[in-house]
Amino acid sequence: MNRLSPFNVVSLTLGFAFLYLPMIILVIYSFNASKLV
Amino acid sequence: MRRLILIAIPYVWLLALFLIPFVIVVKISLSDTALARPPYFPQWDWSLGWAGIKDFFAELDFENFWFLTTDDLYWKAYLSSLRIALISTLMTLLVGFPIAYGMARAPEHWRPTLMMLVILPFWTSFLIRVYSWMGILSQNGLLNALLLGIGVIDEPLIILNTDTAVYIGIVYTSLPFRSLPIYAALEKLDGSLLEAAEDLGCSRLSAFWLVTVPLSKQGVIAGCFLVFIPAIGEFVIPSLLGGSETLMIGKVLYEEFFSNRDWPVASAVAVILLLILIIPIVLFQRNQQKQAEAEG
Repeated sequence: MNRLSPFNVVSLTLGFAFLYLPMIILVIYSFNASKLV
Repeated sequence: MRRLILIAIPYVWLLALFLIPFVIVVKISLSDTALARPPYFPQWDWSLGWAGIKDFFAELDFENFWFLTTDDLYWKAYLSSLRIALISTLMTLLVGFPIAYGMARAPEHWRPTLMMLVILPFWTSFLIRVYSWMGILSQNGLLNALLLGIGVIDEPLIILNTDTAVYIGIVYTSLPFRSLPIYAALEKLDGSLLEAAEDLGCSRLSAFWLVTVPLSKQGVIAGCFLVFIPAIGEFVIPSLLGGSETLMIGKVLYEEFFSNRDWPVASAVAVILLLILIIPIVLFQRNQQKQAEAEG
């Protein structure tokens, strides 16, 4: 049972945030009042 | 006999779906443009008999390949693609290695979950993910709004439609390809080796540098090739995120094919791109073979 060092926690968090934030942002922005649809 | 049949199946697949289309592309690259459907000349006609076949081969020439050397655009595009691919590979390493390292050092029961989290973006649409970066990086997009709101900058940063956006796009889409081979190499690393290094007097940092990095070299090299080879031929990312000065060979190929309707020159560009890529692909294969031999 090994604990992650703080550096690893930060790097994992930042890495996954980099991967997932654009997708989440896209989903949030897709709820808009567009006149096209 | 049965083994021959078993090997024959992937060979037939490759023959039908790679070799024959490639021969067709080479043939088109040797033809001339024509205002016809399809837009090249000569075309293979079985009914013309032996004389027809001889005429067919007489019409093929290397004119398009000579044309590629005369126009500056093409070699500049090749060089620019090479540059962008190399820099993107380096940047992906800087971003992907910490992720792989964190994954490899995580507790055992987390690792499948973390691996699934890294692979999951592949299950979503590639194009939509690139579109999301367009929204973030544009001048009145999220990043600029955030930075302006905090007060770090006074004017919006111009990131979209530049090379920087292309780098970000390639790093973003290649990140899982980069992390997974490095993670595979790091997971095999024995924790006791690092303990032994520290017992012998290494600091944490030099233990990392002297033990972890050389042992993960195989994974790093495999990841490099997995990012570099697709990055050279990228079209979607430079087309959506790059500007008009972003010269990449994928974009040039697309424009040559669809805007100029010049199938022969486009095919010549494609053939030369494949020839250029053969070198890293052969190196990659050799690297993989060496790794397999070293293990088994």
